[in-house]
Amino acid sequence: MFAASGISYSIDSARLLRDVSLTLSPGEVVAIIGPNGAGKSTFLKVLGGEIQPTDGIVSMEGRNLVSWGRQALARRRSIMPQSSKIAFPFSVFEIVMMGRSPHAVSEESEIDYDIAGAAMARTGVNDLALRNYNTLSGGEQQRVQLARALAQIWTGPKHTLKDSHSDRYLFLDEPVASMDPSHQHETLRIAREFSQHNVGVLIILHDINLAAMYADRIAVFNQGELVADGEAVAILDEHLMLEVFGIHVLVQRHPTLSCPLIVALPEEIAVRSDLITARQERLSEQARKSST
Amino acid sequence: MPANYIQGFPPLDWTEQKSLLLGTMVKDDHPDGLQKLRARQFRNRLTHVFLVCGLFGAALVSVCSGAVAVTPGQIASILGERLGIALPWTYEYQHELVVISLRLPRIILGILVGGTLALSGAALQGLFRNPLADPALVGVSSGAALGAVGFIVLGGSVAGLLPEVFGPFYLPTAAFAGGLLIAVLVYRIGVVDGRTQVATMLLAGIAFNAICSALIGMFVFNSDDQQLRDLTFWTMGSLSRNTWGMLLPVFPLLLLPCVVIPLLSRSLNAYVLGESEAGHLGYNVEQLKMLTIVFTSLAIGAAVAVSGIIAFVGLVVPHLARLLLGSDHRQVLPCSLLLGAILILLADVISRTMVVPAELPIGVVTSCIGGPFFLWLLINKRMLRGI
Repeated sequence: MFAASGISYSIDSARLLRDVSLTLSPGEVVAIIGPNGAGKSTFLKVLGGEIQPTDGIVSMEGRNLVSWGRQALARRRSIMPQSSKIAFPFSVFEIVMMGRSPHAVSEESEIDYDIAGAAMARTGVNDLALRNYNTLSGGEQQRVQLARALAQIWTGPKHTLKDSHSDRYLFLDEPVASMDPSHQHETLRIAREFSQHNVGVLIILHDINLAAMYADRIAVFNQGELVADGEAVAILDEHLMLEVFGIHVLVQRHPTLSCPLIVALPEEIAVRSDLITARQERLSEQARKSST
Repeated sequence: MPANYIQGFPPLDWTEQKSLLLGTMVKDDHPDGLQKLRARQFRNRLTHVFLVCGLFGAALVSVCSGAVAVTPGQIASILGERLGIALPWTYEYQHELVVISLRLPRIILGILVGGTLALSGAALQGLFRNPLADPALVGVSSGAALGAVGFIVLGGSVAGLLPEVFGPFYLPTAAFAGGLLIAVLVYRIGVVDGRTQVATMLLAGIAFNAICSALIGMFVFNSDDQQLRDLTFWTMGSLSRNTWGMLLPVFPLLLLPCVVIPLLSRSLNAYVLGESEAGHLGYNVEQLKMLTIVFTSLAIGAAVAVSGIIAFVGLVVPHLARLLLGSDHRQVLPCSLLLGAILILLADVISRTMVVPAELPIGVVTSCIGGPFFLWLLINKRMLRGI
């Protein structure tokens, strides 16, 4: 289990995180949502060990993060950064292979090539293997970075690495920001797929509907605080959305899935939302009557 | 998710995805690129073999040409006799003297200086994550030159206090210290909140270059005619300090970085992704930064101490290496080492044979070739593609 307890972080007098506690278990997908500047990325940096919290403890498998060896940690926890340019023209395959470097002591083995290839196939960047990373579009670059993060914690049946079957963690920082809709869904499918193989997945998302559809739990950040943490059905409602994001929404039932569907409303309509809900209930009642 | 949120609609079944079990995907989905990648690895090895051959070729050309022409056969005889093997080619005593005590140390010096300059350039470009970083541009070279010049002019008053035994080491050490100081200062100024600010860094380098040049100028202004002539040596570079006695003290200082810097290539690769990304991949980033700065400063300091500032090698050669072999530092670093050595040897041949019996400063030759070549690269955009 990956656990952050009582995390606070401040720079100068600004408190960026205030007493945040969140756990991530292997097998679950947790989405973090929140407005800009709510502390989502800062929190991810704390979880990644990049910055030391002023207060609180981050632990993996019950051991404080700082007591883990760099390589042992890198083999079990990978982080996909927000989009990044690189200084030199590396090929896509080279970038993805870098994800295997915690496993390859000196030279990459056949297994590492296979895994990098499989990771690229899974994120659909196979055809780009020999392209220069910097010439790709933003969405393609994100899929390459995703493939790199996947390759880093990828294990297959024939791999006999010492800690290959232990629990692993995948942190994604706005992985779908530049992707088209089909790749956005594919990315979240991949996240779910990995979660079924002893991987705990933490995703920062802006699209609340994506989060509601794919995440087991949603953690809502606002002004450096964790204001809600739970199943989408349980926590997403009009009040929370207005309070945290300052937007008026209609929380609907997803027509085919068992998750809520958030529909944003322009402010002038929002005040009449009670009427809309009433009308919808009337319509659905009529439909039920006519079917019986 | 509770299944009864909407009656009659089963929750989306994620287990459908199990057909794409992670393990079963591994074998079937080889990227097309893998075969090409293997071919590229083979080509890379071949290129390195060619470069090693090229280095021997350049060394042979260098040892043969000059004011006194020597044939390859004569060289074989001269070297053969040292090893106790008699070979048919005849030579005169003058040839032996020229080859053994002038050209051989010069060639070794050239290989080491050219190799370390190019290697340091490649490593600094990786560290600054910037294709423009260069020992001369970031001020390390002029810092080293300042250290050396300062020691020559002021050292006389200090030398009496220092033990005689280490005499030959003082000048390279002063150059090294100067280079290290500037490297640390530039890095400190260029990195804000853990992020390398490229423009700041380059501007700081330019500022330090100006300061160092001014101080060198002041030292030279207060010096006699002989020291004035040395100004050319420090600012233009030369391999003319080619005696075994001069070579031996800097030999380990130049050789050590050649061994250590290539060991950093994998971490430098990861560092290209970004500082925190390299950390997430399990690399010790602080150690990488420290080792790169110390060993490139060591290399550049030592190189400047024996040969002055030889421009453009550290900037252009890594780009050439990338054009040949791609950006992977495991290829770029050894390739830069070999290419730098080859280029310096050839440039030295030109500098020795253009205006016989005098010598052009080698920095003039490298700048004359390197400048236009770099412009050609820029115009062709091949080098800048994707940067």
